[in-house]
Amino acid sequence: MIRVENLTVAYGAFKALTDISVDLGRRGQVHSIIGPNGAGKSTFMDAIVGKRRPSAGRIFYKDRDISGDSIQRRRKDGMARSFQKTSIFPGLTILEQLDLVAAHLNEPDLGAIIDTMDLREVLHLEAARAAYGVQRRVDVALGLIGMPDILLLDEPGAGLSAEETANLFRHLRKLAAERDIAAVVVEHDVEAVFALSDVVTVLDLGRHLATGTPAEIRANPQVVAAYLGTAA
Amino acid sequence: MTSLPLSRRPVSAMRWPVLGGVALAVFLAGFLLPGYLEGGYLQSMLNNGLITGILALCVAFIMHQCGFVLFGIAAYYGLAAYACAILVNSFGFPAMAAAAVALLVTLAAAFLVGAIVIRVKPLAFMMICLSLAELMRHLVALPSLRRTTGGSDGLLFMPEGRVFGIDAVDLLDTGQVWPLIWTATWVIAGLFLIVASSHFGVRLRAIKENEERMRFSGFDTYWPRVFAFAGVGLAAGVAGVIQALATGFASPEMFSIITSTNALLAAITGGVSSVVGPVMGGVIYTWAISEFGALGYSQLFTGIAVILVMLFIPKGILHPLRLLGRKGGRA
Repeated sequence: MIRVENLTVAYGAFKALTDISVDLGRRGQVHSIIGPNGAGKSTFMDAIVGKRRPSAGRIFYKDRDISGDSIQRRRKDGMARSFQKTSIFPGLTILEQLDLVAAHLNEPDLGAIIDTMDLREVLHLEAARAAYGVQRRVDVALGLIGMPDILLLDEPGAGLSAEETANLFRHLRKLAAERDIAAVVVEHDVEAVFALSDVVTVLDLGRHLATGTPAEIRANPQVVAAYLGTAA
Repeated sequence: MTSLPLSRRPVSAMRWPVLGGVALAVFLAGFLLPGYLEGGYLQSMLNNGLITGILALCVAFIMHQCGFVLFGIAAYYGLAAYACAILVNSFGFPAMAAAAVALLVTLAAAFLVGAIVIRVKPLAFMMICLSLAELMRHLVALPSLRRTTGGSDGLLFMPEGRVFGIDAVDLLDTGQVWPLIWTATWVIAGLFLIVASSHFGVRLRAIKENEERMRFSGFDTYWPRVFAFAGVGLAAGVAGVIQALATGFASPEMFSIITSTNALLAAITGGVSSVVGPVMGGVIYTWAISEFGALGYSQLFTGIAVILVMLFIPKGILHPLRLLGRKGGRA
């Protein structure tokens, strides 16, 4: 669904991403992006969703060059994201914020999203007062509204326990299958990634190191040397 | 006006008719006030208090809904007053037409300013708004514009015709202008309350809380705030036009930092999260300045009072009353 061609993102003289080419986002699949700190994972995500402009290269979405499109345009075209740091509306109730976005994006079945993300019991709670795990689910739910074709999640497990992260990934797999959407996930928890992803891409120092199934990535000597180490 | 928060309604549906009835009774009773006060100091103080209250409502609305600290509300207050006075004096407009055109001019100005300042950072927003008001104050006082604006002496004018059925000349009487001020306060408070409770209001607060998430949810985050800013400018313009008609005078001091500061402090004193608080804040603040001024310590005592409010009831004087009301309701 997304084709990245020779993507380079530079902050002044520093290149956060260098000449990356990769295909992402097949419907019904979870595609994870991993790599050590400073690999450029979040910058990569930001470039795809329009938060960072590419210094060079192009990004295609459904075979259309979207490199110059606004964030809003990409969202309305079906590209949704959640954030590394939970990004919700703390002063609004959970229902208020879901309702607001659902009305704007013409979501036909908000109830299904509420049920899928297990939020029905906390709908009238002000989001700031909800537990962190609930806030993460609200974040993902906001991304799911409007029948997106692809959902990009930046470290959805950040701040969650291993069990909560595994649960979240299970939710994602279920969502990707049920709603026939592609999920692209940046994640640090390598075990969760290998257990629940269909495809894995590895970045290192802003460069594309490898893409493959979890088994292929585990066996890739370059990935082992650069990121996984002997523990893998 | 009811004691309803701008953002949500804590009362059950069963209590709405009661609150509505009380609000209607207070609104109607307000029209009887001039008969008891018979003009004089108290009436004048109440008139000024409500004008400050309207400005405080504007400041509170934009602060609560958009997170902006508006330090230059005087620009729109003064602009509307001057536009009205100039249209009457220089172009012979009747009072009602002058008021209407003055409000259109103010709306256009607020829209243009809003389109610029919404993009900048909060500190720059505050300083640009403040500077604009000061700029206007100096502009109308320019000797070269004296024939039109009255220069630093201000502009006296004698409105003619009728304004909502009241002879414009009669508006110079503090008791006669009261129904206009009273109604304008309720209408503006009511409109702010409706907007805050609407989908648009939720959208504004969501932008305030997390603009980035709003953009990633497909929302335009610019124009709603420009419209809110323009609406607030228009409401301040209403206060300016009424004040001009009530005094037959537009003064450079209407643009002054003191006018803006008074509105901001009145909003903070009353509390920015309801529509009643800022109006009460306006009246109390005007009364306090007047009383402290009579003692010769206006700045000193007002400063102490504001510090005490900020320290002990930072959510405004209405907040403890609201908490008491909730406790009473649960008991």
